[in-house]
Amino acid sequence: MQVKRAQSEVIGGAIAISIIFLTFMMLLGSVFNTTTSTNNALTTRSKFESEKILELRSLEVLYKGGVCYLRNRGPLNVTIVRIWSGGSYYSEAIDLSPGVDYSAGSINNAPEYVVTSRGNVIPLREECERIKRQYEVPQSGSPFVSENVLNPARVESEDACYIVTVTVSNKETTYSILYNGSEGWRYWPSAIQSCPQPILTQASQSPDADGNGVNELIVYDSKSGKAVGLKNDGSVNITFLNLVYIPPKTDVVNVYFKLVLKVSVSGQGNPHDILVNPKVVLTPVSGGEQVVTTASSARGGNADTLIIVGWAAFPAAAFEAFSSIINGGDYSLSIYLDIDMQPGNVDISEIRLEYLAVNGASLKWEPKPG
Amino acid sequence: MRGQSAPIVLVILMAAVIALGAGLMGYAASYSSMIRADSELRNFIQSEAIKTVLYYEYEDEDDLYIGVLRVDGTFGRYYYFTSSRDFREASSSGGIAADPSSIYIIVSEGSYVPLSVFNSRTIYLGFIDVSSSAPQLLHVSKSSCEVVVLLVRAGQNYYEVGRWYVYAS
Repeated sequence: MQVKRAQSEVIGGAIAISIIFLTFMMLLGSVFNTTTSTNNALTTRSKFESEKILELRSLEVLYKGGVCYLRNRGPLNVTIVRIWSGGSYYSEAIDLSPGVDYSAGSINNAPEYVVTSRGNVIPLREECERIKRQYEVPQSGSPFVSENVLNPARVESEDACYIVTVTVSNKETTYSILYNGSEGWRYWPSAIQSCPQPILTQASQSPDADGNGVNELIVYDSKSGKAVGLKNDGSVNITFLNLVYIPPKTDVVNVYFKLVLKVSVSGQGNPHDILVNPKVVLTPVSGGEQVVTTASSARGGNADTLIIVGWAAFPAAAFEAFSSIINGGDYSLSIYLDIDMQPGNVDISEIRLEYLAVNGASLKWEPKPG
Repeated sequence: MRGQSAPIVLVILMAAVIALGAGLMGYAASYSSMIRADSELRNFIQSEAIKTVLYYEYEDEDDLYIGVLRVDGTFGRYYYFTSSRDFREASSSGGIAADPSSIYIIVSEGSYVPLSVFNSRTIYLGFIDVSSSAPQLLHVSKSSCEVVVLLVRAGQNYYEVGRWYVYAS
C-alpha cells in the first residue's frame, strides 16, 4: 500500500505540474506572439519613415528652359498619386524611377502640389517660382522689378498711411506728407493712433523738384504750410505703415529709393558740407524687432538739388539676424536719413522722396481705382 | 467490510482529485483565454496605430485635407469623428451612429477611456477605406471642428489610432 500511495502522489503531482506548465506556456506564447506582432509593425513603420525621409530628400525641383520638373535623384521608386491645382485635385499614378524627371510644364501650368504614395507633399509651383526668381534677369536692364510705390494710385490708396518724423537735437517732431496727385495738392497727417484721411490744401512748392516728370512726396509742416527742412544735424524718418507682405522663406528683400533734397546755399556754404546716410527699416506689423540695413551714403554735389538713389538689401535667407525677423508677414517700411551738416551757410530746405520700389515682397496698399 | 472501505474511499478521493483538477484546468484555461483576448485586442490596436500615418496634405480658408495611409499597404477601414478639443461637442461626420461608450479615445496619460466620459450623446461616425494604391484624403471643414479622431473597429467598439488638431486660419 505504501508503494501505491507514493505512485498516486507522483501521478497527481505530475498532473498538477502539467496543468501549471500548460497554462504558463499558453500565456507565454500569447505574450510572445503579441510582442512579435508589435515588433513587426514597428519595424515596418520604421522602414517606412526612413524611406519617406529619403524620398523627400531625393525629390528635386528643377526649372529649365521655362519648364518646371520634379526629378527623382534617389535610389527609391517614387509614385506621384495626387496632383493639386487651383484648389482641387485629381488622382494620378506617375512612376518616377531613380533619375527620371516628371515634367510639369510651365510655371503657370505647373501643379501647386504633387503628393507621393509615401505621403510627401511637394510644393512644385512655389519651388519653381523660387528657383526662377533666383536666376531671373530683371527686364529692360532695370534692377527695379517692382513698380514705383510712389505713383498716384498707391500714394492715394485708401490703405495709405504715413508717419513722418524729423529729429533735431534729440527733439522729435511729427510732420505730414504732401503730394500733388490726381486731386491736386493734398497732405496726409502722420498716423498717431489711426490713419488719417488726406486733406486738400494749397501749396506753393514745385510738385517735381528735379523736373523729371515724376512728382515727389514732400515732408510737410501743415501748421505753417511749408516744406520741412534742416539747418543742423538731424534725422528724418518716413514710414509707410503696413506697406508690404513678405512671404515665408523669402531669400532677399530689396528696397530701392530715390531721394531729392533741396539745398540752400549762401555765403561761404558748400553743398559738399551735407552728408546723408540713408537706412531702410522693416518693422513687423505684429510687433517685435526691426531689421535695419544701410544704403550707400551720399554727399552733396555742386547743384542745389541733392539726388540720392539708393538700394538696400535684406538677405533674409543668408543671415540669421534677418531670417529670425523676416520670416513671413506684414511689414512697415521706413526710409531713415541720418544727415550730417557742417556748420556754415548751407541747409536743406526740402526733403522729398520720389521713388520707392520693393522686390521680394508684395505691396499691400491696394491701388486707388483709376 | 474493512477490506471494502479502502477502495471506496480511494474512488471517492480520486473522483474528487479529478474534479478539482478539471475545475482548476478550466479556470486556468478561461483565465489565460481572457488574458490572451485582452492582449490580442491591445496588440491589434497598437499595431493599427503603428501602421497608420496621418499627414497634412492641403488646406484653404475653409477646408483641410488630411492624408491617411497604411505603411504595410494593406486594406483598412477607418472611422472618424470631429469634435471640439475637449470632446464635449462632437460634430456629425457621417452616418454610422455609435454609442459614445463604445468609442475609446486616448487621454493624456496614454490610456484609453470611453468617449462617454466627456460626451453622452450619440456620435455619428464617417469612414474611409485605405488601400495599398494611394493615401486617402480625409476632408474636414475647419469651421466645424478643432480635432479629428481616427478610429479602428474591434468587435463592437471603436478605438483611437490617430488624431489631428485643426487650426482655423
